[in-house]
Amino acid sequence: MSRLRTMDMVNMGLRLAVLQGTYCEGAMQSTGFAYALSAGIDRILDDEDARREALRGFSEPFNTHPFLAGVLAGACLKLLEQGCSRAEIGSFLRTAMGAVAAVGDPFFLSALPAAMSAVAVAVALWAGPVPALLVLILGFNFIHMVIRVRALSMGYRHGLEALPRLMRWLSPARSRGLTIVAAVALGLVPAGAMIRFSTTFLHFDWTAVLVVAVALVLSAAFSKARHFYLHISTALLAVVYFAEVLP
Amino acid sequence: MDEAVKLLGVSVVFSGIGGALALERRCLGQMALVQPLLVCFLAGWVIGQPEVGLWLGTCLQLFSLLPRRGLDWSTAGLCAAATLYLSSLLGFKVEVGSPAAVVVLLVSSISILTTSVIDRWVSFYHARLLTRAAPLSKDDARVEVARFVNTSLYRLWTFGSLALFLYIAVALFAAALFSRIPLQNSWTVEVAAVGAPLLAMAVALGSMARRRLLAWALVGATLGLGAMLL
Repeated sequence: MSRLRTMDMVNMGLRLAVLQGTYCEGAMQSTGFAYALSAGIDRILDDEDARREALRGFSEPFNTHPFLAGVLAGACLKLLEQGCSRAEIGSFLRTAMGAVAAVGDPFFLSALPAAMSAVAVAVALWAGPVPALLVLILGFNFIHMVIRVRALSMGYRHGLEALPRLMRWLSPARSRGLTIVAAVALGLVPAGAMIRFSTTFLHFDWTAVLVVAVALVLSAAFSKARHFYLHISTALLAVVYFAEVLP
Repeated sequence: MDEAVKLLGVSVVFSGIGGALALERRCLGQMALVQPLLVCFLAGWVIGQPEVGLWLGTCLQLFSLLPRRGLDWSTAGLCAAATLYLSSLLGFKVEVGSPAAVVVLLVSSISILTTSVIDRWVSFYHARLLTRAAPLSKDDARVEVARFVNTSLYRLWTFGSLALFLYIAVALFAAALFSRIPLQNSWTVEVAAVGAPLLAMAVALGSMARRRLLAWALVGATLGLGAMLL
């Protein structure tokens, strides 16, 4: 029978929110992780010395994706409850944190923000800013909050079995699908920008096709040299400046 | 003098709020509340120029899709939004595609390159604090760990606020300088107005670095051109 109560889970979830705020060289997220776990350890272990000893077990360097740290926190508490030793829990964490980060990083750092930002920008240009802001905030938060909340309870409920379930949720196919959505939405941006910010390009002609073609060629160029845009934007500023200043 | 004091006060308040919002982006919540599109549009709406807010927000939101590695684009959004608001207090206009708007976009974009340096400093200070305090080895580990967490958050807020104050000062100075240019050629404004979002879109798509995605973008572009035709 589970010893953790719902309020303990909520407490741990809130504490996990500051995980990245305690990041430092060497220990990385370990202090923040121990801070979050201390709420659950107090409930699971009765003896004060055992609690202190358990908390010290989390002083080893720890680093994973912050949104998915809950699944590891829940699994660690399950292992503690089952009476696993400090070494066994440490070994589990060392193995699992890399795997969780490998699943979480492509989804939460690349696919999801890209899809939500690109769709929001396309909506802002085509339909106005208010629906765009709703897409940006509700879309991103719904997905990430559901995963964050469920990860913690899933980790505690399933222990070691939680990781394969997590892998199924955030499969590479889903990340790939989100990046395709982002690419299609980005394709809508040039025409949207012409409609929203220009009067000259409003009438469809070959200039509009040329503008879109230039944007796609630039995209291909930027995939080779990512920070080249800084030079191009500086050149754009210089052109605007000199064209306006010179008679 | 009164104007300068007012401006300084507003900048300090903006920086303080910005520091708290940077903390939200970094750890407290991380609910995407400090997205450039959102803050820039709100600033533009408050000063009665929603189009320029949307333009800056669109560009910065797309730039934010560059691979992260410590780059904090929410800071760029806050910097652009604060500059937009302060420019209206100073009485000069930042219009879509004008040199002042382009320079705000450029300074905001460059400012984020320093955020990775600040992240490294914070990480270094946290490591030193952790070595000195060693909270997990203390008898009252729970209290010591909680104290360490509070100190870390306070330090993050301080660094975030100070950095943002600096960025706002640079962006505002540049915008004030460039806003003095009298606009003579409407074509430059048109080129910048459409060119900057195009550039940002190209950066975002290029950063995904997969050839197959270009084909999907072409599908989107065709749809967009078709909708323009209709």
